Amino acid sequence: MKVNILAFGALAEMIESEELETDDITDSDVLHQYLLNRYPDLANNDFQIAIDQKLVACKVVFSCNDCIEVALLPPFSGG
Amino acid sequence: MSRELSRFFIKDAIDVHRILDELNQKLEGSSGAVTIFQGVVRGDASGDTRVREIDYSAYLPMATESFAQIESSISKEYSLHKLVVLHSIGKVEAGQCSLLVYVSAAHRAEAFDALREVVEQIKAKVPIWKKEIFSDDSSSWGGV
Repeated sequence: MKVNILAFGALAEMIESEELETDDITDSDVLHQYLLNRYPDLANNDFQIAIDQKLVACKVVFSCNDCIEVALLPPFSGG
Repeated sequence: MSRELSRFFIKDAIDVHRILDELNQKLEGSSGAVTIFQGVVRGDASGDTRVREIDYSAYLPMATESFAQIESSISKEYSLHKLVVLHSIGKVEAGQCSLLVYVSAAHRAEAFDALREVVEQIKAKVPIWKKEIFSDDSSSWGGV
């Protein structure tokens, strides 16, 4: 299953990309580890994860859709 | 050319006077109170330089949904006649407006309380980020 990863704010600069694509990710814990392995500096940054535009606070198993969208969201600073 | 990106977002700085003129012309006769919040980019000093502008970005589909949910929940909680929220995307210079919240109601209590609650919820819940750009062209992410 394809996972489309969007990065925003300071995270996008850190990983030098606003969009990545990967597959073979089955749940949000596996995704988190994949990101930390690929970008170790993420461990020093506070961020939330949204899956298909919904914030997730605990482990989410990805359903067998063709593609899901994951967003890496640093602390909000709008307003 | 329209700079509206969506119902809640506008490209670059908000033209406050034009928007307030439009809204006030449509004010209901039973509205006794209008409260307005303008978020303005501050030209804060930072060492030998200062903020020249802020570049706002957002996760637009999620941010739009967040704004819609805030609008819905505040409208249910308070008896309002109108609630309008506009946020900038892109570059807004120091002194210009990047957030406009407009509330009208029959009485001032609801108008004051709803306005404050809307602004607090926007800051907490909407996926928007600001990048401060300084007069020496350096930059820094806000909220970090």
